[in-house]
Amino acid sequence: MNERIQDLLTKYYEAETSPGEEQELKVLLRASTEFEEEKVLFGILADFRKLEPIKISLPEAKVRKLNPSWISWAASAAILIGSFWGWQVYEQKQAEQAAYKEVMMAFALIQNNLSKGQAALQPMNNLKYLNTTDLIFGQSQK
Amino acid sequence: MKSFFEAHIWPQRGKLYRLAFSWVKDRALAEDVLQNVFEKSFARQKELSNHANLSGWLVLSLKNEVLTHFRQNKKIDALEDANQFCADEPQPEDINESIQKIMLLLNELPERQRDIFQLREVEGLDYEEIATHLDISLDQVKVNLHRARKRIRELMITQKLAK
Repeated sequence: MNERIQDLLTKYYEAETSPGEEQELKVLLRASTEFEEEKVLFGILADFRKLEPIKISLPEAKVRKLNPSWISWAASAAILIGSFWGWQVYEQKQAEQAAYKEVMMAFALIQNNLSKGQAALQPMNNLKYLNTTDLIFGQSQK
Repeated sequence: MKSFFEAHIWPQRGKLYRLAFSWVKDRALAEDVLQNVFEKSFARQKELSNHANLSGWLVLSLKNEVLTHFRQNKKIDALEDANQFCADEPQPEDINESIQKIMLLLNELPERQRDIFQLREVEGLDYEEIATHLDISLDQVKVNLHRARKRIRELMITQKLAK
């Protein structure tokens, strides 16, 4: 076993060992009573491998914090703009309704006057009989 | 559903932390610089999802973060000088004996050899993965690992860490 360890150590110090051979070397060293220096070396390396960070924390996505005073100003501005816009819409609707009523009243007036005109023109209908006396009386007198 | 950060970057925290720790020799500072890198990579995760070498980018970002920290604190001008700075700093009380020993060994290696040695021996990466992490060639990895192991062996004998 010691011969194998010595061979592996020679290769190890020449940096010619594979990871598998290095693993084998560590296992053989644990079973050996010699090679104290190498045992210590691999022991302290194994201990160093156990060193882990304690206070490292997983970073979190940063959430933008809004300034409360800025929020109140923004809210006030939004309310003012909203109120003004609402008032504008209301005014426009009222104006549209008033215009509609006026137009409808104008149409009603026109309709009324048209009816009166038609009634006034009714006697003119009799004029169509002016040249038709023959048709009414002439034939029978001859 | 996990985000790209949670699936691909967050699982690397242990490895990146140990790398940062070997550079700065201070647990709290290593965590701080890693947290900064995580915050930046979290913000850029959409862009990083298309990155050809994510691990390499993370290691480089971590190194830049450490350098920025040292420069801002006007302690050193480059990471290579960190050995001197860290040697003067008192070791944290809670650091255990093994970590003190490995730090003593790693401090004796040049920066490139130290990173390669650590990625291989501690993180268990293969040569290709190390080359990708450090954005260097495979030959550079092998040569530097060979030198690092040789140097570590000499140190083990001279410093008699086994006793």
